[in-house]
Amino acid sequence: MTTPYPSPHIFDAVKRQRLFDLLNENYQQRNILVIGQAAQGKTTLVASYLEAAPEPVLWFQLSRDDNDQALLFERLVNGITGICRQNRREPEGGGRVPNSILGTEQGLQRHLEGLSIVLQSMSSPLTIVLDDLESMDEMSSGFQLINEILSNGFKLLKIFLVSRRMPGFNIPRLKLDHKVFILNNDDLAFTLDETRLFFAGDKRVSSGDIEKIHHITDGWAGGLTLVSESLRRFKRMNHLPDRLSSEVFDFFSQEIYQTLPDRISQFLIQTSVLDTIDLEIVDRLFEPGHGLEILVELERRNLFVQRIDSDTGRPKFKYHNLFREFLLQDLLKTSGSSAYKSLNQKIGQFFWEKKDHEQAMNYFLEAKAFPDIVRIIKIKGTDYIISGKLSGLEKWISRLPEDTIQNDPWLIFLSTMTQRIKGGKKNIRRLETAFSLFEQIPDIRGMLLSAGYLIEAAVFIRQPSPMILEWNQKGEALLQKISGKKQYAWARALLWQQIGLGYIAGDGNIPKGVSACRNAVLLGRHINNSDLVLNASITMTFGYVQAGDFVNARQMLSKIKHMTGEGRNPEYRALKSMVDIDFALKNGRFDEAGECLARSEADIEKFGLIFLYPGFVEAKALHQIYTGQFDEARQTADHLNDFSILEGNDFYRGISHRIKALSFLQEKRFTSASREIQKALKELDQARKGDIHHFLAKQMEGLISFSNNNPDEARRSLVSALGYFESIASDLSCAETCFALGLLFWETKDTQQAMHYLNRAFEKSFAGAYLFFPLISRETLIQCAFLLVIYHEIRPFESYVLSLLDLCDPKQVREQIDWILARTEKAQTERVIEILRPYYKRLLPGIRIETLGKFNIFCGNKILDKKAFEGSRPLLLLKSIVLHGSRDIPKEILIDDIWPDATAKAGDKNFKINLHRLRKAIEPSPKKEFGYSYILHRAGLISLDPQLVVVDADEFIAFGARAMALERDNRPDTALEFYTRAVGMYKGDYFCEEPYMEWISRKRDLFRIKFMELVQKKAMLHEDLDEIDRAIETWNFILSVDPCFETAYQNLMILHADTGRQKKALDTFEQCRRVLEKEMGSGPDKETLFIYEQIKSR
Amino acid sequence: MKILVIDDEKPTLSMFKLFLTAYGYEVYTAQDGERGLVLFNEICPEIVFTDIRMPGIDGLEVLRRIRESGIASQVIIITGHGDMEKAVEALDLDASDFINKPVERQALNSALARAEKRKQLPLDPGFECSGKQQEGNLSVFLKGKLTASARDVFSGKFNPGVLNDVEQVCLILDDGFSIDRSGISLLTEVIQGLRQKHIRVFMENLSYNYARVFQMAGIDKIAVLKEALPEE
Repeated sequence: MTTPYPSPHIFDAVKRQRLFDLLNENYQQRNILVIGQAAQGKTTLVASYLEAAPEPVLWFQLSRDDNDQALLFERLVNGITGICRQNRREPEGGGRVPNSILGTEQGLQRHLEGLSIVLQSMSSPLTIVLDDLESMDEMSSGFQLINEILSNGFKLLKIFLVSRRMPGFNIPRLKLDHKVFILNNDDLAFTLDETRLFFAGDKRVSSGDIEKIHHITDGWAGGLTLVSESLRRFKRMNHLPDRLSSEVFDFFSQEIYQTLPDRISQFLIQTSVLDTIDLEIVDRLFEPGHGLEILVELERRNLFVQRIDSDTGRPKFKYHNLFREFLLQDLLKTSGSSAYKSLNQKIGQFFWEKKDHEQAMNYFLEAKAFPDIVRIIKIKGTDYIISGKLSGLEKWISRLPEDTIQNDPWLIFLSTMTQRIKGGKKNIRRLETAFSLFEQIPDIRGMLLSAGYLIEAAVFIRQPSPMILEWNQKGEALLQKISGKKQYAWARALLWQQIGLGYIAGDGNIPKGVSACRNAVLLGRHINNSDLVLNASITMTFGYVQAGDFVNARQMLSKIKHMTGEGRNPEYRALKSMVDIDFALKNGRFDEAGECLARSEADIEKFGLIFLYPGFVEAKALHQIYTGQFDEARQTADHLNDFSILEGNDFYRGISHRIKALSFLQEKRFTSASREIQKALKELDQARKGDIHHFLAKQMEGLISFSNNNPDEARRSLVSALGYFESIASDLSCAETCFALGLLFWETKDTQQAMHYLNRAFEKSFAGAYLFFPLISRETLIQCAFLLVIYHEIRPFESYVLSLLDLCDPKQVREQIDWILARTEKAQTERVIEILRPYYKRLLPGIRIETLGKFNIFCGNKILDKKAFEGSRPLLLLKSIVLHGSRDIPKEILIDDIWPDATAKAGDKNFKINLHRLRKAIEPSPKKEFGYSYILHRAGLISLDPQLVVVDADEFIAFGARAMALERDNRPDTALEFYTRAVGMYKGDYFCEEPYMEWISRKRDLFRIKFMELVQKKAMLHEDLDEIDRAIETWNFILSVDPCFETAYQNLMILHADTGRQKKALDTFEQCRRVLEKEMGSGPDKETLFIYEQIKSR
Repeated sequence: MKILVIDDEKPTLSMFKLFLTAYGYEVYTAQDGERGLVLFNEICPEIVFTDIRMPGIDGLEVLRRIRESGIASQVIIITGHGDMEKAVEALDLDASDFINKPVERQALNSALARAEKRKQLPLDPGFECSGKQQEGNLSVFLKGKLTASARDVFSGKFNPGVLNDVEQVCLILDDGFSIDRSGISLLTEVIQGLRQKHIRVFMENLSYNYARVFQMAGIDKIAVLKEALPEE
């Protein structure tokens, strides 16, 4: 497959089968490291091995430029995305890594993440070759990026590393993790057999000569080439030295080189200045028309020239490093350093004219052409800042003499930018110098940029707020001065964005910060600069998060998501996590909030997102409060305070106090809560910290005052907070405040106002489907709900309130019922009890009575111990109630069942005693006001409460009836389901443990008959549905219950016979005959015999 | 420049890492003394921050072992309020500075600036002292490490003959000035001697954190302490 990064051309190479086999054996290793001395055949080996590779290969010839991780990243990503596009897949994220907005991590992690996104979007394997790895500086960021790529390992990516020396990776670790296979210098050395192959067909060389050559070269590939060339020229072996290694390359090259025609040797010397020999430049500057011819001839003879394909269609060439070094030395020796510089300057100029400023810069640097270097830096410097490729710029500037930089504001500014963020405090001084020099000229663009980045530097190193404010104001004045002009749009937008950052993260004036960011977004859009729009949007979202305005934050995030390749940007992700945490906390989803917190923490640490850290700490503290970890929450609040102190910015001090106040409020430590909230209010000044923080504290002050029995103060605080929350449509905060106000007015006997606020609270909560209220305790919520209930205003929200109550601990609900009753006037008590009774009953566990099979009473999931009934009579009484249908049974009927011979008085007395025992056994401690709930006794009629008590026999009858109705409605499948359920409930005879109670036995027979009817119907329905096996199974089940049930035999015989199992049918008949004989002393009836005969005659 | 921070509280570590990274340092962290020392030997940081109270190997032990290692790192001890005794012990072990929790920006900046300056100085600078008298004012410049062994050099500057017309003494501390427990005693003794002679004493160019140590030692009761201007 062709790619913009093709493998080098291999000209007439010896196939190294031995090495291919080694590579094949170790191909499963993710990375392959090929190390060997110069000209040891590393590149040739890898290129020839990968020639047949089925997967695409990207070949990167590394150079010093790749020390800049941004440049290396760009090259890698361009190559990979090119492959993706060839496979008709659009790579994820497009491989763009926007600059850091809120973090100090400037590159490595971001690039690694960007690369991993691009690689993850690949669907098939890819091989990357990193050749000439030794040309990179091991301390450089580019080298670190490669190290990280190797350590991380990507599933579909294989990397070949080609190097002259062992690179400084953690090789033992990589080996331990099976992440690398190493092919070393000895492996690469030609064996004798391979040397024979090398000289195969060369009649000048005898077998003995080959052994000698192998001995003196020690398998060195470069040596073999030199010997071969030497033999071609001198046709003799005797001049060869005893040993031939790369150190004698110069000597040997000299021999060959001297025999070349002058024109060619001159060509070689001059073109050695070029990193890559492009024919266009050769034609223009060196050897018009003949360059290709010379280079092809050298290539054919393997004379240290390598052809490289290029996307221009014209071949490019590259001298082997050793050979190039040799040629360069010769150039310096013969023509001197001025010629060397002049050649470089000429080439630099050529590239500059071709608008390839990076190539031009490389040659100007070699030529030490400082005016040209400065010119390029000034023209292109800002682009490098925008794209974040700072180490290239840094390298250029570092080559300039110090006095060139000192008095030039642009060079001061650009050199400072190469140390952006990592330059720390020094950057502020340098940017101040640049600003004042720009001011003297004056250079507006320079002023805008230096002011913008100065604010950023001041914010990042957490300079005191007044200093940031001063520069923000300077920036605003500058922008004001040039308002209406169309120039410098990018610089103006950047300054607006940094002013926004300054206000939000530095000074704490969020409204002004958001407004500045909005200006930046508008300008960014106007000039179509997506990076600026993204950065300003992220800063603005950060402002909203800081302000607790999660509605706007959420809206901004959805916009940012589209700008960042579906949100793949650390700032986006971390901000989204913060918003998600807030959302999860407000909905009581604490596990989810915990997971988001962990993710957010990881991103903040990894990318140094210092500005998001305090918000994260605040969310963590809230999570701790809501999950009952109050001490931990206060420790976290202290940490937030520590952060505020270290930052020298009081923004989070107030938040820290508010967190502590909330923790004390939740613990009902109202005095401490009151102390903390007063501190919070002092810090959270409305004008500077934005309204929301102030009013959230005000709201809490109201709640605390109310809890501290200070209703007037509470009302004032809550009403002012409510007004604000309504103005920003913060429904949850409105609802919370209304709950508190409703309760407050009720406590102060203003029922009308109380109902007004409670209705508003429930309206908002119902509309928002809120099930968790961060500030309102469950107790308060239940109180509010019951107040609405007793004032008959619950109806619109009844189902919602019931679902809220279901989430509460029943104990809490009981306590709040007590709370209401304690505050109810005596005359109203009966009425209130009746109103609350349904809610009280919801707190009681359900009772299930099993009568079919073993008699059991379940309370919740637990079987009631029969000992609790103090004898058999209370249980008999319960059985009698159940037997008579459980509803409105005159007590006389029950007395007659159990004490048929007792006098009316004795019967009544017995009844009372045993009813009491029965009720007490089922409900040992009923609430006094509500009395017994399960067994009701009204006007001589006894009932089991239908909401609380379920009897299996009732369900059995109901399921059976439903099944039959469904069958009638021709819905056989659903009918079968209900037959199965009904039949499944019949686990034995009705009250089987009371075989001698006459009043039970009649009903027992009825249930049995009903059961048999339902099973038969089930069996027949299976037959109708042609479910023969299930029909047979059901008839057999009937026989297991009643072995003499002849209809079952008849049906089984027919089913067996109809399905071709005649013997089985006849056996069934025999079984029927035997059973009837044994059990009843009679034989099968006529119908059975008829079926038998019919089957027999078939 | 590499900085290693050792503290058993994870949030404190996170906070230090974020701040110091923003300051432009290459920051490494360890959650206990043991791991901290392993990391120290691996990376040889120029500056170490260590909490004084940690389970296992505490901050003083970390400092002691760093000094034993022979690696010339500047060690800044993080102390709790009122840890005077420990702070002085840290000075005896040649801690470059110490900062109180909760850490204030100025304290952090001052400690970092001091550590960076001390890095430029020779390892064992010795104590030097020079005086300059102008009318009734005697300015004495203190340089290097003041310990009991410097008694003759230091006290010699205040011989009765020298102090005849002196109304006030101004002790001006060099940026790299340091002191230990015996030095604090000597300093207190000398200042008390001057006070007995009704000579007012000023101490100038004190680092932010040294001013706190001298306050804890009660020197602020007998001399006027003037801090150096905060670092920009």
